[in-house]
Amino acid sequence: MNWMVQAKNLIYDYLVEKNEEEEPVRFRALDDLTLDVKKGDFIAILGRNGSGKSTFAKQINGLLKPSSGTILVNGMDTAQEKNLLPIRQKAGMVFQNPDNQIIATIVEEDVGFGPENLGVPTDEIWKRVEKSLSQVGMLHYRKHSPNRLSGGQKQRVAIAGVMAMKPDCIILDEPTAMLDPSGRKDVLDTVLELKEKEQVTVILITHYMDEVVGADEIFVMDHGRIAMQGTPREIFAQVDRLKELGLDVPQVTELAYELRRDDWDLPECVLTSEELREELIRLWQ
Amino acid sequence: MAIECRNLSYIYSEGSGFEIQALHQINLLIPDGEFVGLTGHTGSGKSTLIQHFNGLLRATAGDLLVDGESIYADGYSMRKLRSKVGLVFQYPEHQLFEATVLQDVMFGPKNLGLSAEEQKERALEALHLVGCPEKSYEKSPFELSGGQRRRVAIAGVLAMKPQVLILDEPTAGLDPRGRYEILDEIARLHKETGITVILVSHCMEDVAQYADRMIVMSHGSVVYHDTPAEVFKHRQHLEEMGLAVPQVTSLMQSLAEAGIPVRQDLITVSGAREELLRVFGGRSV
Repeated sequence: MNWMVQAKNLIYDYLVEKNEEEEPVRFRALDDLTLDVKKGDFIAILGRNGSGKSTFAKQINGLLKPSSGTILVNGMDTAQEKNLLPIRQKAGMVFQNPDNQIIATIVEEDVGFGPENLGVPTDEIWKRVEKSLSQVGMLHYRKHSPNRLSGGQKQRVAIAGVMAMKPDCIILDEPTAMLDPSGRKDVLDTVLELKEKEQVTVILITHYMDEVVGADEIFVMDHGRIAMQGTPREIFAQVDRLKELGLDVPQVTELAYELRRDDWDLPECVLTSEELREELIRLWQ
Repeated sequence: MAIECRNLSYIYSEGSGFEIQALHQINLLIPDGEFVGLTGHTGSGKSTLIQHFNGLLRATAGDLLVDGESIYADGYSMRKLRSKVGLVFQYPEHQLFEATVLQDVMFGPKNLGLSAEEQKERALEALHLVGCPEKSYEKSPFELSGGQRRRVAIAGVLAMKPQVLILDEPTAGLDPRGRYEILDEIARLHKETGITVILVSHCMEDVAQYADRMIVMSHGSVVYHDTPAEVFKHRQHLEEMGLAVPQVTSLMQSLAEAGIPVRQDLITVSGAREELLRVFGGRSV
């Protein structure tokens, strides 16, 4: 089977309580969403605040269940109670705020918490802890207290905690929103390496456009639906459409787009600094 | 209102054996009416420093002068200081608590002991300043979107009529449009009211675009205090400190290294475009 996630006509309604007298109001967060994620892919989900990205992420590991429609994770339907535990082993989540997801007082115990809950034998837990900490480059800190770590290091510990569950898929919901540039880079590099070396499917939700230029596919959400879908080059070529959707493009993409409008001979979509540098050197010579 | 640090140092848990020197002999003058960007890696001391500016932390050595007056002098009113220096924390919307938007913004002026009419007048003015739509005033803050809630939280501080506005990562977690909207509002506010603005941010693109001058901190010391264009010339040093330069700045610097005579102090897309048009002018591109 080739699909990690298959969402079909997914609808999700939140009930918003206004006050005691009035009836709760229905708010449609996912509106007939259909989306497939291939195994081993790096998928990015973009969209303005309130577009339904996080609601969708929570559907993938069954934290929320569809109001209608279906979502299959590794072929298992999240609507069935018996599938929830195996699904959560397969699909691990990392959230925005590292301080909300670290629970133990020593790094290695935090990473071991997941497999321990799965009933993994002790020897095996320690093996997994060691392996996942070295996968995220944090083995050196195994005996440290998490609260002395930087934000980026904490997020890598959180990712190691997910990796220790041996997931097939890792879902990151704005994992770098609170980090400084080097922390952001470390987290992103770690995730990409896991994808390459461990063939983990990666689903990244972010507001930073430069983090998604290496994705296999990008989905742009708006009002609970898929507004755009394609490779980074296909998506970022549509600068005006992205801005309409409340998004942005990387600075160099915008610069190249502007210069093309000035009739410069540049490719339709430039994604990285290196690419634009090469193109400009070519024009200079 | 001008803020001046003279040999300001701060040590956490002084005398306990677990001392951490968070600030190391800071000398700094932020003139009245300036828009300053404050940046630095996680743990560089940014948050510790701004908490001195409104007296939440007291320096363990050195002095802090606000409008030429030492805030550590006998009889100096911290209460007055806090009404003049408004501090917007990270994720300030988590601190909203009143039943309606208007009441929430009135809370600050109420604590200043103002009359009910004055409280309301101040709140309406502040809500107007942050561009909060009138139809939201009687809503519960929790019915608003993330970006709107954040504006309400900022209005809560503005209603105190501070002469210095300090914002700690005001755009974290917002989508690109929400980010520009908030920053544009702050820039407009700065222009219209002439208050001093201190923007703490990890996002170099934001600092580059909005700040007159920027302060770069590392390990509790001030490393640079200059215009963004000057500071971003030090790409390599900034990267060593866990920071970055805006993407276009790094592009222009790499072009210069390749022998194309472009300026290396450009920090915005529009600036880079103009420079490229100038330098490449006349060539067939």
